[in-house]
Amino acid sequence: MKALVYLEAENSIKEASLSAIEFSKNFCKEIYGFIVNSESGNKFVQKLYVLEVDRFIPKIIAKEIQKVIESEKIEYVFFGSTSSAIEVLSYLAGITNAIFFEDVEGYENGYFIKSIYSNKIIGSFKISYDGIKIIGIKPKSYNLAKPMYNSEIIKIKLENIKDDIELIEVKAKETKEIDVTEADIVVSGGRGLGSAENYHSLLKELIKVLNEKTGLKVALGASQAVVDAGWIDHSHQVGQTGKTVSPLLYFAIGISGAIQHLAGMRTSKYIIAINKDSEAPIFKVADYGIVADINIFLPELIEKIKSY
Amino acid sequence: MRILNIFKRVPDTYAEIKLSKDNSDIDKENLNYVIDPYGEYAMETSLRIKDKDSSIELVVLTIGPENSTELLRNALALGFDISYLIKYENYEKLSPLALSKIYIKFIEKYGPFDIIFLPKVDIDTNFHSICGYLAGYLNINFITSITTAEIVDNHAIVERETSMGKEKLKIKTPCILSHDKAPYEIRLASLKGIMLSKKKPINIIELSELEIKIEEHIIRNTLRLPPQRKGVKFLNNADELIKVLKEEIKIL
Repeated sequence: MKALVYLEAENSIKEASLSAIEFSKNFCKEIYGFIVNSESGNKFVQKLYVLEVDRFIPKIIAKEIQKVIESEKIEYVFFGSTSSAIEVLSYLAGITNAIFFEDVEGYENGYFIKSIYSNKIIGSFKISYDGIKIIGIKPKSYNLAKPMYNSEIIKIKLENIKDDIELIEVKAKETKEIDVTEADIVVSGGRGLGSAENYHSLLKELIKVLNEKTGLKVALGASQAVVDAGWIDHSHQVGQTGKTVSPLLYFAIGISGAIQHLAGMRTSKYIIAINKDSEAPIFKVADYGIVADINIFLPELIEKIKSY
Repeated sequence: MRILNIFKRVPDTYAEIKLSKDNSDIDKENLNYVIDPYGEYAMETSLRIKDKDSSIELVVLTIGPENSTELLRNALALGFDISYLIKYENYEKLSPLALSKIYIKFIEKYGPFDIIFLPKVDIDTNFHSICGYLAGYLNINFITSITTAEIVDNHAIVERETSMGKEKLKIKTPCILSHDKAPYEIRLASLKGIMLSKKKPINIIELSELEIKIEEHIIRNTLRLPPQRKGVKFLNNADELIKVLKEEIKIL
């Protein structure tokens, strides 16, 4: 049986894509890749389809994947569950009448493991379908594939793509930010920081020193309360109406720990909570807790890590 | 112009979810159900579109047991014109393929619609795919995870956040849009709206009317709660925290 893995790259191949390749080995021996405007990942699959386009239009990309599925007689498509991959591949599911099952965290005795009800419950699911199965692996939940092939590369080039969707404007972020779902460490702040100024100055300083001292990817997170207060944009929000994260280490700073927030971060490997209130619910999920005035404690912590 | 909003009936987002005794389902006793939060934002966007052009007809649809009509009544009180319930008790166990096919049958029978709004994710089942499925089946344009939408001529102007920044896009109608959190607050029903809603129709559709056979492609087995965390260890100062980062978490 053959699997096609939809790969994504930003400079280099995304970790979520490498997890998808590794996961596909549970099902198939022959593993092919499909990637847009990049040759990243060529050491990880036997054959790599490279689509070159001048505009990224999900419908058009899905139709090219459909052609590969048909010509190669693919039964399984795997991907790392990112929002951009979901946009392309959910459309592919519609045009190929496929089963689509994203955010899979594991595979146990023939059952797919996936969190439901906003991560409050974990379900096990059996897929029984003769057609194409499109399966997404939740980032950070599966081992990464290692390079082991010298891929055959097949290029497909599309030019002058026309579409009914027009990009009017992009307001690029000032600095390239690491997404909370892709980070090894997430430093999240809540209302306990007191003001937007404290939130930005203290947390960004902590992020900077952690990144310098550990070499890990560190991202800025936020509670719903501070997003609603306008301190930071929604792309940083962790929790029920934001993103779900499972980094190695999660810092909850001045976050009380409403159930909607806990739902988005409680699968983190380690959780460190810093809060003035020793009764805050965040301490129920934390591994380590510090009860302190954040505006005194954080500068001290930053200095100590700096001089470490 | 006609706009369709599809929302999902989900357990109250503030509620702790427990399991039934045999772990086959969630414990539904005393569980309060609400309109899903992303569906709610999408409804607010539709109402804002109608605020500018009252000739637009707003249609709202959900799937669920008979008492889902309470939620549809709320939508009518907010300003939606017509509501539909597809009556199906076991809706939380449907595969995204089966759920999409039910929606397609509805759209074919009760459409056409110029814009169809969906939640970015069904937070009960964690499905993000319904928007793509519908666009694929109906062969129309779609954009996922939008935060705002306005109508200009036969187009929708939408915004969304991506990893690159904020995008503004123009999409030709008919189109399907899945809605993320909006940058504005959701309105509450006015007393006048509540009075008016009593005269507006709630149409209940039996699944048999849609002539669709439900197939189980994804079979949900047992459920479990997330593993309990070990419990908190309180630290006294920054030095102790640095020791933890070094010796326990091993990142320094």
